[in-house]
Amino acid sequence: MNVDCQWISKNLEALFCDGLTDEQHQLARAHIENCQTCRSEVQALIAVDPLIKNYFRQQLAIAQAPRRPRRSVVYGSAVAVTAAVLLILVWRTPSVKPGMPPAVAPQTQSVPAASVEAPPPVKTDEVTNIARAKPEPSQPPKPDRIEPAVVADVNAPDFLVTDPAGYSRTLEDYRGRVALIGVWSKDQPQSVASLERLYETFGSDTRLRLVGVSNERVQKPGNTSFPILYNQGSRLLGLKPGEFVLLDEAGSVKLRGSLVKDFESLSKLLRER
Amino acid sequence: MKTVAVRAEDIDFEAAAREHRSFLLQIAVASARNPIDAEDIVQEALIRGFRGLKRFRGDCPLRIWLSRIVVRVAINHHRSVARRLKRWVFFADLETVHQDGSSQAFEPPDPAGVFDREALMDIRKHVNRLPDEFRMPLVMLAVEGLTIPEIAGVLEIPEGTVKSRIFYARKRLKEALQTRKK
Ligand SMILES: [Zn+2]
Repeated sequence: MNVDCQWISKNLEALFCDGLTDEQHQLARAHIENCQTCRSEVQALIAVDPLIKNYFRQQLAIAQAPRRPRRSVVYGSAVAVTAAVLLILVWRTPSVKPGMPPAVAPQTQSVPAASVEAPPPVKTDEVTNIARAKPEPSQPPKPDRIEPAVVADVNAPDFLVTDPAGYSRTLEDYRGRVALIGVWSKDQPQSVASLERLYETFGSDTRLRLVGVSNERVQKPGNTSFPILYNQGSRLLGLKPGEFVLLDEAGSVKLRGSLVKDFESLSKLLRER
Repeated sequence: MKTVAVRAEDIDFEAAAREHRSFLLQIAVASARNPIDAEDIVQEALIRGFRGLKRFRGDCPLRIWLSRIVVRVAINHHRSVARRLKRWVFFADLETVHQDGSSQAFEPPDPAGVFDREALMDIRKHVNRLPDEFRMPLVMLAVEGLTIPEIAGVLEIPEGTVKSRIFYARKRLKEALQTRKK
């Protein structure tokens, strides 16, 4: 049997899934030890695991974050459908500012993508044990072992939304852009109108992007075209319905005010950009 | 592995629910596409588990049996959300055409390498793109104390299938991350 790169590539799944005979396993190990190409392939596959672990911890922390009371309870009106509209105004910036603080949930445990690029040298034992890395079944589960630091980081996120397909977005996604975040509710038609006017005025700018967020999955009011995203229990930067905040590329607040009362100063600032 | 000789009628369900709650929450997080839904999923699964307790034969640990319900609820939850969303205009797919004739894609793809997103953001996106049957076993690997045979038990598929789906999911993620870097 000739174990070469092609053979490894063909049998990679079997290698990871305990599907090789002892002899094949020995030969595969020997080849991987001596072949840079195959070794980095295997290392990259192994490097996915810590990323998944980190991802899972973050997801779990979000799941465990204390729930905020529903707005309808807070405001005593079950019909007050509150939505936030996030207008993202994009001014191309040459690079992302390195000093920008993470907007939501600083990833203290974050495993950089670099680990995929350059993982520590793989020991052949690691290859052998890929599929056996889990604890033995007899080992009791320790479901409560969640680092408190991670939980604290994501408690009540400042800003967490999803798009209609369910993909999460945080302010991180708008790094290097100017963002206008406005909050509207259906019982505030003036706020809705303000946002629509802003979208009509600035939406055609190619450097400008508009994205919408709503607290609940409600249909947007008629005669509006600004897009909507959905809030996911975040504080929406502390904005109340009818208010907006304008953030610069580094995520710091440029202007804060009422969509209706401060409409002119907001428009002026946007025009002058 | 110790044998479980528990009969449904012997179970103090309230105590069991308390004991397994945080484990089930992890299963829900691994199963759901949105962690915000995890608590609700566990809650509903426990209600269903309680109602259907007489169907529990004791041929697997109770927490595995409850985990199966969590997975089913999570899948249904996602489907019902997806159904609701279908009634919505997917503005992400639309192009806004303005009066002056110019058009603007809702969300143009980021020019490669311009935005230095956290690896985590990428991971979340890519994990969510995996089909359920590949995503769930991979993420369940991260559940504390959940072994591959147990993942097989929860998902009710053979161990070999679990392993090969995990392999496939790893491969997809690896390729997605490497493509992004280039
Ligand atoms: Zn090779």
